[in-house]
Amino acid sequence: MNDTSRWTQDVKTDTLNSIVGILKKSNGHLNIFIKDNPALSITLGSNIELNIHDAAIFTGIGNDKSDVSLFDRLKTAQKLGEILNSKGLSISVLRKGKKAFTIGRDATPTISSIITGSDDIQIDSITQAAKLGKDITKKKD
Amino acid sequence: MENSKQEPSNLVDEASKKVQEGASQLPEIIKQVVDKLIGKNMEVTYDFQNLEVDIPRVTGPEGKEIASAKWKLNGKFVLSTQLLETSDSSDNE
Repeated sequence: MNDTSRWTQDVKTDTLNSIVGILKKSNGHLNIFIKDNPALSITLGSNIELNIHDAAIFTGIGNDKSDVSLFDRLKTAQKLGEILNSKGLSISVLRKGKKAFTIGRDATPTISSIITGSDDIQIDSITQAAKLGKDITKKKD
Repeated sequence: MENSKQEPSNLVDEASKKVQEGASQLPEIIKQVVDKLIGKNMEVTYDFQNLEVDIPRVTGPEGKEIASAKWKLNGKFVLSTQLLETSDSSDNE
């Protein structure tokens, strides 16, 4: 890694640290509706819950050229998992109210750490996580 | 199978390369989500329920403490955007 990319990496880590610091001291709810249909609910408190009602909000987002699965993407969340854990915070991602995976403090090293490559990311439900991945990668007709 | 003969160190390099590529995509993904939420021909409702965001104290030059803030958000707002076609829009493009 050269100096420039190391510096970029440091800036990203600092930014993530600051965002996580702000999230830790925040609480309340935010519901987002698209055309009156619930799309996303965010609950901030001792733990953060991200409830994805309609994955259309994420459809087509990311690198369209790659066919990176959600599980591959979870591997890239390792750094976030580490930072959340160090700050004593965790994020639970739910699909339509059902827990799919947890990142951070509350993630316990299970068999899923083999898939995610991290002890800070736990897949609570392979079914929900797989469905969520499918919802997100589903292309618009 | 060629892949099974790959050196373990190569696999680690490849995996860490993938992780770095993914991490570098994160700001782009956030930008695209925001773009989507404020995009054209959209009607997005944001419903804040006692949302309190504690912005930490910022340290400026020479270690001087600048400010901190506490945002309290309660209520709903609807953001709708519409794509309008004007007669001269084709002339401009």
